[in-house]
Amino acid sequence: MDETEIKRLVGKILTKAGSHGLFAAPAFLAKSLPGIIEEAADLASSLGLS
Amino acid sequence: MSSLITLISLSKIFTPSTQFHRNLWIHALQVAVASRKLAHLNKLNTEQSYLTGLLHEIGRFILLMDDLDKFNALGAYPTSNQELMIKEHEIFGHTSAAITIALLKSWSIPEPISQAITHHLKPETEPRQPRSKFTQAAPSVTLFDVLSVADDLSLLAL
Repeated sequence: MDETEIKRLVGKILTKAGSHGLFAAPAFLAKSLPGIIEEAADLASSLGLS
Repeated sequence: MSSLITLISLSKIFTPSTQFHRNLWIHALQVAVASRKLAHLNKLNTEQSYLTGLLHEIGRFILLMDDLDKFNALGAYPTSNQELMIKEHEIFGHTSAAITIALLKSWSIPEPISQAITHHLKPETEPRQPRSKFTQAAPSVTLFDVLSVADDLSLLAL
């Protein structure tokens, strides 16, 4: 996932987060998104689900 | 610890056999991980948030076990949740949301988790959990808020 794609996703999710009163700084989401994807993929792999 | 036990147990029961099934699992795990991170940032219970994300579409796994051919007829994942539920009703005669809600009750899943998921799946239901503990001006963030954002985050990422 390249930087442009991450920025696009973060922009979308920030609108949603704001509507829920959720504190979700752009930097946090941009930093977290690849980690979330990677951690889920690692979990799936370790459990034999991928 | 309870989330880890739940995760391992579910992975042994719902073994994926197609890419659709694998995407279902990836989605559940992404929502769980994202929910935990958002909960931590917003000072909510991270264990409950993780379980909320993991279980939020558990009914879809039941449909998978019920009839694989019918389940595969639902098409590729992801699509919008609304579209999937319409298709589920057409093909199975009921939705995964109804099954998820019934399962949460049957398994005696803690109320904050079951309420967040129920409200997420059926937005027309009122969350019994108060949205504001102290003032109307500064509503508190709930598990439902975290789940809703984490779900969108995953659907965008898939």
